[in-house]
Amino acid sequence: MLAVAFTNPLYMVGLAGAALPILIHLLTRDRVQRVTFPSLRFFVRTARASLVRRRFEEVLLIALRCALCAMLAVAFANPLLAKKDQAQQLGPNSRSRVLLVDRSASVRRQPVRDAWREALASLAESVDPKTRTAVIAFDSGTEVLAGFDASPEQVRSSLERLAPGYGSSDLVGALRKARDLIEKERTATREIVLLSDLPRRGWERYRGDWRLPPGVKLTVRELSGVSADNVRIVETSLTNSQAVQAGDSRFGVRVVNDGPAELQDMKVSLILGGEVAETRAVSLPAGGAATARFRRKLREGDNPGVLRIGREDANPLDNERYFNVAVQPRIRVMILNGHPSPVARRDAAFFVKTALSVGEAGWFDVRVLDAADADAGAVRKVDVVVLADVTAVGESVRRALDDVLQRGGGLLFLPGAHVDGEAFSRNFGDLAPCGLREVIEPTGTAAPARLGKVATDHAALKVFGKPRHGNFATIRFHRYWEVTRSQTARVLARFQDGRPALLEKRRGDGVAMMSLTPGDLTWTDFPQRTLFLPYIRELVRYLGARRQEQSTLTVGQKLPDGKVVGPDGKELAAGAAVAEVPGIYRIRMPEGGDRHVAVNVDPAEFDTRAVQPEEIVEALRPTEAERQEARGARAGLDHTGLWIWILLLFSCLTVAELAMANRTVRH
Amino acid sequence: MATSRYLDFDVLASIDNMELLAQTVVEGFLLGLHRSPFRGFSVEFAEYRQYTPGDEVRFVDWRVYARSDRFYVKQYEEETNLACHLLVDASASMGFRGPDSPMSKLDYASSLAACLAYFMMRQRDSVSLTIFDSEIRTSMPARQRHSHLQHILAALENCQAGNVTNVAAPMHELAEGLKRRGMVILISDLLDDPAAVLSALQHFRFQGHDVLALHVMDRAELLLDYDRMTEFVDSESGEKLLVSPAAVRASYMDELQRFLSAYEKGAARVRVDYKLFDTKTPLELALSEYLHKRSKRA
Repeated sequence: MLAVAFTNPLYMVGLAGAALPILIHLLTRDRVQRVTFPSLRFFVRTARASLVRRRFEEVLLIALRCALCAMLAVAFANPLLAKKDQAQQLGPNSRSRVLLVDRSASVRRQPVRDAWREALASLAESVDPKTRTAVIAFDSGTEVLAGFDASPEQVRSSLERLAPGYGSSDLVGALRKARDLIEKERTATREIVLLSDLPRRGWERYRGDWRLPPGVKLTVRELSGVSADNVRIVETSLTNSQAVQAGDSRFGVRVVNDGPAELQDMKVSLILGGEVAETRAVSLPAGGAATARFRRKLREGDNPGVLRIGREDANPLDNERYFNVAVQPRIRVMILNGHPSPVARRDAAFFVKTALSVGEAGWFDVRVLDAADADAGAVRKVDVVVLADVTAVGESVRRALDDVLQRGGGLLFLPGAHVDGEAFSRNFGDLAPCGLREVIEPTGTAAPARLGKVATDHAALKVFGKPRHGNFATIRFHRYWEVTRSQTARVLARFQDGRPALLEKRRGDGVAMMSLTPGDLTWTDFPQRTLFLPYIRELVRYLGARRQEQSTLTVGQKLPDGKVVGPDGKELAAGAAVAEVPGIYRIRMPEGGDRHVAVNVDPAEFDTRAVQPEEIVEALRPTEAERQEARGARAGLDHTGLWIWILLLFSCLTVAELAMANRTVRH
Repeated sequence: MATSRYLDFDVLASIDNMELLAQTVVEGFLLGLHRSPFRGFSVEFAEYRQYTPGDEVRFVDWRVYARSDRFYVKQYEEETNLACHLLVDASASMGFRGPDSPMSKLDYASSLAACLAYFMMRQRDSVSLTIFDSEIRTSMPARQRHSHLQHILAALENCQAGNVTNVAAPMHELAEGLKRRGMVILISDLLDDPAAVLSALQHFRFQGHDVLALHVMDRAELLLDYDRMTEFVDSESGEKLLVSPAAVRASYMDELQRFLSAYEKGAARVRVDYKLFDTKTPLELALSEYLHKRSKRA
């Protein structure tokens, strides 16, 4: 159905002006003169037709003029032609409501949980048959439990069945979903009722790039309340790491007392394989924190466990933290030295070997060989080969390097001053991520070169993305190689002039990486910097052990492929690959063998800081411009298009009026 | 030129006395003739006059030349015994007077008839008068006496527009009653069926009469010069018609021309002299027409 709305309806008063032509006609029309004429015989054939035509023309002319006047009034009123919206069809009292219910882990804590239950019951009671009601439950994702077409009984039932989950709270995503749902509604009154404890972390993702549609009211029912008696784990270490076979693994757990009373000798336990391995007693001042440390030698393979506070409080969820420590053997690394030197600073392998050998329980089993003495058999036995300033190797070694890549190992090229670029490119071919063209020596203001952009989202460099975890911009490079044939490689770091500094290319199951500067001090001061050690270690660890999957997840994250047995020992239904409850999941891998994944509630859920309801309402309130635009949009019309039609019609009528007036006057 | 040669209509319209009007017109007309070519063509001999160069040779009396060896031309008295019948239409339509016309069609026709009667009397012709509308209302036999002229003028002066036009019937009736050949002058707006009117005129022709039809129309009729919406009322039938004159003028003029053309061509066919007058045409022109017709008859 079509309807007409007006932006400036007051101008419709001007429609009275349409009567003006009639008034003027009546006031100024010719007085008919009466003449006694000798004979009407000369009129008879045409006079009557003429009179009828003239009267018709006069009426038409007046009608045209009235239409022109009316059109002016209508044009000023700015008519908006639209499909008659559902609101008008359903009546002015029609109402739509979206009940947006937070079921994240944060509402499990007391006293929020009780308030949440009461609020749900209240909402269920308020379900009105005349109100179109939809129910959306959300945590990290959203689920529409009842659509607008659901009956009141269905809506109440969905509310009654709701239970708090273990997911994190994505307030922004949920509100956006509710907006999308209610935006399509055309009832007279539209409302979103948000029931949540409003965790600030869930609102921080809002960037102000969207708002609620005009006419949609947002009502926030805040679930407030913080228990005075709560102790929680705020941070752990080594819960998501791989340990090496040698040495003990260290565990650290930081505990916070939110309560007003000091807690003495509170027990914190390390549980491995379902048994308490160690227990520590910590004292927590009121509002204070303490750290419990454990040291344990773990067996090779998965070591699932949990760190647990031995105390019941208002929120048991934050009292435990699951983990799985996957213990691996050392990564076997071979360094092929292309330019051995008695002077350490000029030796291509010295700094790399030193960086990889640091530490009591080393991750790496490092062996250095002269590149000329490299043995293909020895090469095949290692996980990672570092080629320091090596131009070429023999064919057998080259094939062995390829085998390392094919079976999932890694190569790290560190070309330096003694490399012949052309020979390097020819010899290593597809093994290296790219070829070498020439040596670049920055001069003038460009000297020395520095790193511009580092891909800290890459697994090998992720650690450097955290604040104060390394500043690559201070490293000086006096020379570096310019690459060629790098189309198939991914650039992980660039110099300030945009040339690649670090590249990566996959081959087989392995990865080859190339740094365009050597591991000695001939071209750069990088090996002398503290950043060099973690940089080389992270690269080699990535190349040697990158196949290890993440062993700790949060609720809502995707579980690895395979048959999954949940924390309760029951196998999850096929396709249920998302972790829904915290605990240790056992995954039967497709290629054989089991692995474990620890799933925890997002620690952000234990953050009791809340956003103010007014802040959300104000942030999502549509701007004045949006409200004005929405008037037209809600009416579903093309503003400009209608003006064009009015203008065209007005012009046509004006031309017709001029032509007809001219003709009538002549007659 | 019109004002110098012809009498001003405004002046004529102000003359109530028909005799005075006729006298004024006729005397003025005669004064303008000077040496009237018509005077010397009468049938009755008057005297001889010595030939002077410029006289027509056909009027030289050769017998006198043979007797006296001198050239003399003959001069004649004008004919005096011609019977002239004036037929004046006094139907209702003749009472129409246009907005800019000095007099109605009937007044014009009466003045015309009066002038002709006066002039004919001076020519020593006998004059009859018939006033008719749908029937003959007044009929006066042809006489040459001055008192008869007075009666004619009085009748014309008192003439009022009457009933509907029916030209043909009274004319046929009159044609049957006129035994002596003469000249018939019809003064009418001829708002009748042209075929019927021409038939009636032909009736006169069959009786041996010379016929002169003076068609009188008002200028407003000829031009339809009205601007505003006008309700025209038929003066005879009373029918009303509301029209925009501007809108119908073209078709009106076509119809009118068709009507006038029918009379003009029909009159030529039945050998009737036809002359269209509007009410501003100088009356003297009617006298000229009469003299022209009279000379042809001679």
